[in-house]
Amino acid sequence: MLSPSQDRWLRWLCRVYGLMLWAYPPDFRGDYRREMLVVFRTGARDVMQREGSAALLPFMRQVSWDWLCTTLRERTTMTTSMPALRWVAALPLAILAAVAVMRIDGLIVGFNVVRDYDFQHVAMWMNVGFFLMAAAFVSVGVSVVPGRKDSVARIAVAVVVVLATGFVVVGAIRMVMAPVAWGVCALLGGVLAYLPWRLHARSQVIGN
Amino acid sequence: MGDMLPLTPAVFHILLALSDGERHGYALMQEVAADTGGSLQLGPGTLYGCLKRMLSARLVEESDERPDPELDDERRRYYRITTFGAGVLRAEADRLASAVSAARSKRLFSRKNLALAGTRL
Repeated sequence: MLSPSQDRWLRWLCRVYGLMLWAYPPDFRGDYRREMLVVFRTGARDVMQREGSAALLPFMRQVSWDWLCTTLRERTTMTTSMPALRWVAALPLAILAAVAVMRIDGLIVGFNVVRDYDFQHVAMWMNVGFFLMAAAFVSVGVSVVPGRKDSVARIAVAVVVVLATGFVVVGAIRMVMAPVAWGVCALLGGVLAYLPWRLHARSQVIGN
Repeated sequence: MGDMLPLTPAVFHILLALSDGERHGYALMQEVAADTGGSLQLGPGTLYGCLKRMLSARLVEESDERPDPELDDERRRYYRITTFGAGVLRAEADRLASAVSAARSKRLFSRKNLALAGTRL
């Protein structure tokens, strides 16, 4: 039997582990999340009853290491088994979002750092960093999109559309052609990138 | 069947634990830890990752019978080994036995482990 403080600890740890489980791919989570929580709770309770609360530290270390290794493995398995059409659809989307972030970053860094302080190398590396972050975010986001719920794709498209619209509006207000053209291209590209993806998701739903 | 070999230690021990009856996830973890003297401790992620792959390879299957909710947590699923899984387990055990036999013929065991291997095989 656990003391009230141990019980509180257990509930808190279960909540933390429940959050950690969100790192697994959606399909895997859908199949095993509840069971994994039951296993975790039973294991943590056993450890606490047998060896006291201090033993939770090595237990959590083991669980965290297991979590890190298996999330990476499951994500890799899911990404490598992703249909080629989704990759083809994902690529322009990733490029568009990365370019959009670069443009925004270019506005901020370009005006504030390069012109005022002449730290060109800082600006360059910041650009590279932002580009890589954006590309990584969108690529990872794309790879985690489950077959039926393409919410990450929608978010990525929404980001592209909002940024592109912003450029069109700013360009129109300043009467400058380049941002307007870029914004229109990005809008069209975003829609084109999203369509095959959407159609593929729909065909999967029908197929199932 | 041969293309499934060699099995990973986790998969081999999960099949071994299921060879004498169906079990739920936590019971599997405990049995594997007990069978290996604590040297192989499966975390929840490893266990269910393996079970997922084993289900798709038809080495194990989910048990249709659900435990009585009053006696057990109804969220627990029970797994059992399939006939195919039992065949793969036997093939892997044979493979390991030949490896042990080869190691024994080259006198790689210490005296203590030789006695242990002799009694187990």
